[in-house]
Amino acid sequence: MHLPDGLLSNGVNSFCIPVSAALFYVCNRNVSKNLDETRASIAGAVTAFVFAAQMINFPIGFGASGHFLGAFFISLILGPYLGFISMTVILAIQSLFFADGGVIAMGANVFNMGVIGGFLSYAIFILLNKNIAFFSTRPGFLIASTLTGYFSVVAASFFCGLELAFSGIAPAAKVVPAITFIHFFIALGEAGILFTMLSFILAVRPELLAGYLKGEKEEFKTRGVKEVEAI
Amino acid sequence: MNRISRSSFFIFIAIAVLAAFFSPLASVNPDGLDWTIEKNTGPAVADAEKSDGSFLFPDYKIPFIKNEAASTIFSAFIGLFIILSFFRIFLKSAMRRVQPDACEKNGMKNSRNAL
Repeated sequence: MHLPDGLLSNGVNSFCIPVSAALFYVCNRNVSKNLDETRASIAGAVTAFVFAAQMINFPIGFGASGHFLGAFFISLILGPYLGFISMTVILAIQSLFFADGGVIAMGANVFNMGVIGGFLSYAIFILLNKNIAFFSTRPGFLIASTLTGYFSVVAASFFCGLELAFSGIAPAAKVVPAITFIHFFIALGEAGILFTMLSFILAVRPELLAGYLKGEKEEFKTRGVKEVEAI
Repeated sequence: MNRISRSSFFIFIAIAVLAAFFSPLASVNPDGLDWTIEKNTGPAVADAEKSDGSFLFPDYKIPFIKNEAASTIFSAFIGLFIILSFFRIFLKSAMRRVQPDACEKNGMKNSRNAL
C-alpha cells in the first residue's frame, strides 16, 4: 500500500502532507514529555520488528500478494502517539533508503497507514475495550484486537483508493472497490499475524498489554512493573 | 533498563532478525496497490508507478551484492540498524529537552545504555 511519487495529484498531497505533519508534531510533543529509556528501547525493537515483517510479502491469490501493515500492532504496544512516530519512521526509512513508497507521497502514506491504520483503528479498539467488559478479558482482547487489525488494513486501503480516485488515476467507482476488495484478503494475513503475535506476547510478556486487560494493570503496578505505565 | 524491559527488547529484536532472514522468501506477486493499478489503469500509469532506481537500496537490494537472497537479508539488517539508531538519537534529544540538568548528570549516561 506504499504509494509512490507521481501518482497522486498536488491537491491530494496538499491535504495529506499537512495533516500527517501536524499529527507528527502533536505526537512528538506528547511523547517527548514522558519518553524514558524503557519506552524508547521497546519502541526501537517493536519498530524494527514491524519493518522486517513488512518485507515478507505473502501470496493471497488473484496473482497478488500482501504484507503485514503493523500500524495497529505498534499502537497497541506503544500507545497511539509513540506508535504513530514509529510508523512514520518506518515509512520514511522505506521511502528514503529502499524506494518503497514515494518521498512526496510520504504524507499520503503516513495518512493511510499511520492516521487511519494506526490512530483511527486504535481509537475504535479503545472504544470497544473500555465500553464492553468482555473485550477487556484476555479472549475478548484477542478477538477485539484481531478484528480491529483486520479493519485497519481495509480502512487504510479504502482511503488509498479514494486518494487515487481524487488524483484522477481511475474512476472512484472502479479503483475504490478494487483496492478494498483485494485488501479484504490481505487483511486476513494481517489478522493472523496480529493474533499470533498478541497471543505470544500475552503468554511471555503480558506486562506490555496489561493496560487493556481488566485488573491486570493494577496487579502489575503493585508489583512495580514499569512497562504498564507506557500505555 | 530493567530485566523485563531488556527481555521484551530482545524478544522483538529476535523476531525481527528471524523475519529478516525469511525476507528473501517474500512473494514476487504485485502487492495490493500494484495489483489494483495494473488492473484498473493503462500501462503508462503502471510504468510511472515503478521507481527510477536513484535510491541507495532500491527494492531492498544492495547493488554490489550479486546473490539476491544475501542482498535482501543484508538490506533488512541495514533497515533495522537505521531504526535502532533513530530511536537512540530520539531518546537522547527528548531527554535533553525535558531534563537538561538531569541529563548532564545522569540522563545521558543512562540513555547511552538504552538500545
